[in-house]
Amino acid sequence: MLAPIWTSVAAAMVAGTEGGWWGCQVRAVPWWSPVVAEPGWVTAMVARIVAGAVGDADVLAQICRACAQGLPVSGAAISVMPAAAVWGGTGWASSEVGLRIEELHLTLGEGPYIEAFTTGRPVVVADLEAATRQTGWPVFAAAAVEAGARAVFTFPLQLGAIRIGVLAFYRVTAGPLSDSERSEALIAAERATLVLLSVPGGAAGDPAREPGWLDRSWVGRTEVHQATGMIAVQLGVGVEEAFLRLRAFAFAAGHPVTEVARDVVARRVCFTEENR
Amino acid sequence: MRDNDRHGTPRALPHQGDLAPPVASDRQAGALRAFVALADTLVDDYDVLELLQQLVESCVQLVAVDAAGLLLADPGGTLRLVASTSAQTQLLELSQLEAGQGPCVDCFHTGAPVLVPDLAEQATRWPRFAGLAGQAGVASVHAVPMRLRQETIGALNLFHTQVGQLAAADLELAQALADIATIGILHERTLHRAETLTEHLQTALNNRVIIEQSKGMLAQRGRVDMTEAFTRLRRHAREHNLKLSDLARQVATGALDPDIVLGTRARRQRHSPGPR
Repeated sequence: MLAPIWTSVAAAMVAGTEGGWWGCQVRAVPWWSPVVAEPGWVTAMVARIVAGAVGDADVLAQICRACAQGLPVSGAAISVMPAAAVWGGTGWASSEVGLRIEELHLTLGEGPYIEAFTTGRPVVVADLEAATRQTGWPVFAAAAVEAGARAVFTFPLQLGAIRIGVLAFYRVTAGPLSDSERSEALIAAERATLVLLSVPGGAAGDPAREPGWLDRSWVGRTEVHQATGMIAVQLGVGVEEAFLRLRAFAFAAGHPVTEVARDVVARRVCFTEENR
Repeated sequence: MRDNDRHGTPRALPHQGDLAPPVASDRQAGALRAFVALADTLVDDYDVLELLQQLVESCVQLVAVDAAGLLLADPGGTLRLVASTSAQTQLLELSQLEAGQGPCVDCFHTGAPVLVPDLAEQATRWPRFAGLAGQAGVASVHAVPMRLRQETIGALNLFHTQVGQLAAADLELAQALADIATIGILHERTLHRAETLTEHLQTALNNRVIIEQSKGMLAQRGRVDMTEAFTRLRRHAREHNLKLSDLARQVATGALDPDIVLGTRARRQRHSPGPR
């Protein structure tokens, strides 16, 4: 377990905003505090995590935490995405805003995560407000700004032609990453990819072979897929269309997909041909 | 290259012992070509066996030896002969493997070069190998490890019909060629393993999606909660000897009527249809 290193490293965060993960409270620090981590710190921390953490259920959270603290960002997230990215991925975020950003991708079907995942290239936007119309995801950009993000940096988790998701950062203030910070992020992404792909031995398709973090991260997404199945029966359509209907309804109502999904599963909302 | 005679007794090795080693500048040019050829194979889809055959042949061309062989450890840790410049070399390497002893075997286990400038002098170390090698005309053996940091994956073995220690420059060159090949092999293994693991990860993710979707469909159709839906799914899978994920896929894709899994079809036929 990492020592409470955030007491000695001041990360840039908005005062009053607290993220929480795995029961740990992130101490709120005024956003103007300088980042005191030295170059190479993130790389060293991630290396230490990687060395000790193969198979560890908390490894995604640890990597996110190390990056969020060592880089001048407000939060970090990892999203692991299936090849058919329309279903949305599973993962972690180190703060509420980060969770919201990840969820926007699911709700809107667009955003830097999807771009980085499909192109295999980092997507760096130092000022979301200024760039809203220049990105390929204007709706996402506006919604992300509303959620509190001003800069987003997304790096694909990949090894050669293999791509499994993204490592992403946001900051509540606009501004770029320096070259060395960018390098550290790239290294962290590479190491994270290797760790995510480390699984205990066992036959393919054997649940014992599945990584522990998959269960931990999946908790938030079960309802989306359950709701999809329910809507498929309610409307008499296939699951792909059911998911699009769920997403469209959420968008029109201005609610996150996960929230609508919860309502569907709780049978507070039912899809009929009338309320499409 | 002459083959063994039919009784398996090795004929003498072809040798260029009377020729002077290549002139320095020719050798540099040759070495550069060999490096480029090897490095070329690292960036593209390439054939590992071809790479290793190129390696041993480059050694014989550039270094003052008559034959070369290469041993690699398989996933179980057992050494196997993978490449050789002549059938005689093949036999010599195989005999070491069979006996589990020889300079090349020692090199693999220690991860350090094993230099035997006069094999006859050291015959007692590996009596069986020394005997066979002597029959083939081998007078000296130099084995260099295929190694990257802490991992030794095999050994490159150089055989000469003359007694004498190889020049330092020759040993360095042989080691350098071995190093490039090692990096190539390890890189390819990492990618291959990563591909396999990514497949498993994708399968694990997709299975979760499909299972949750099918639960939703069953819950909606059968007017049951998610726990009951999952119970019915598992029961049906058990009774029909199906993998859970396969059954879930059949339900989610519409290939199997949820009523069948719910077991309600038979009941519906017996009782008058109630409100849905």
